[in-house]
Amino acid sequence: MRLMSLIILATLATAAPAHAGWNEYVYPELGVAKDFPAPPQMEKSTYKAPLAKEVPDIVLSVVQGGITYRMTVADFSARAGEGANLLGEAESLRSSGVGKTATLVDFPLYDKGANSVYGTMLSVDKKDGEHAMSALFFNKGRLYIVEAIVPPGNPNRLSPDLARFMPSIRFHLEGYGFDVATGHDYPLGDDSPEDRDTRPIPGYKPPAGFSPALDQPLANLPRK
Amino acid sequence: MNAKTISFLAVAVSAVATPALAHHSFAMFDSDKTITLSGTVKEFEWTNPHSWIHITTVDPASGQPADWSFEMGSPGQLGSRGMKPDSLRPGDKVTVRAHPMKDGSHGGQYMSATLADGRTFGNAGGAAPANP
Repeated sequence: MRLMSLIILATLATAAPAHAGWNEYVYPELGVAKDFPAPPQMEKSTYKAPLAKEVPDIVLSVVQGGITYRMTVADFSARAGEGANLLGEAESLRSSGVGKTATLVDFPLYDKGANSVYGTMLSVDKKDGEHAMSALFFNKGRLYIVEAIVPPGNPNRLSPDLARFMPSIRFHLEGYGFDVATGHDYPLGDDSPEDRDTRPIPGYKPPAGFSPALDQPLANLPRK
Repeated sequence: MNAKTISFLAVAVSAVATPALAHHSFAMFDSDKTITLSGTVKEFEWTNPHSWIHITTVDPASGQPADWSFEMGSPGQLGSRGMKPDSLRPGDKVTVRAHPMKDGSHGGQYMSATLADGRTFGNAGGAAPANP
């Protein structure tokens, strides 16, 4: 087995700064943690689409600066095998249609190995002037739709809060530690080497004084 | 038998803001472009799995203040290269290099920050690929 050196910043893995504004909100029952600019309102609703039909969903949302920040979590636990098509349908509904110009931003990947969650990120501009960014994922029987919507006439089309909001999601709720040897984070509670990123980081060197030969008690290391 | 040796270090020494695939790929940023913005630190969020720096600069077109936000690595990554929660403080004059958002909004993937006294935090070299 290869030598591994771990640095656990346990307090940093869980602490959130006490500042007014952006904070992470953790929803274990929904399998997700998400940053919002203010405490979101939670509403039970129904997700409707031609293929999806009707399923219960939870909508978390907050409006700030006229921008709606929203995450919809639709329950497809009984249809988890349809995830690819359900995700595709959601993407299509948001990107296609008369008067819409969609730019596919890319395909984000969260975590690695068994924890991997792939998604789609879209930027859509409508003829009426509305601008929306969406990030969509299907994970473990749930469809996640993250949206930041700037209404027509709102001067905040280029707001940095959209950049702040869109990627700030995590599905691995146990948190992350830091591997000093590689410079990569790794998911806490997961000891599989396949779930860790071992690619060299350009320019990274372990801190001075670091020695992989040091043996330390395992008591403080995270375990499931 | 090879023994698995685990070394536990309590730290955070120096800082690297190398934009590696820590928690997620940086898919929304244009890794083929680099922007350089000079402004004032508005806020430095020292949070896991990603820290954020928010600055206020001046839009060259309008001459009006413009806010920008840049996604950084984790505190573990930043700390391993010498950054601390107070390395960037509100009011600090700073020059940030970043890969911009693909859709033109005022955000980016942090590459480096240089303070008025010349101290630089971050990776001046290439970044890890946005997607594996």
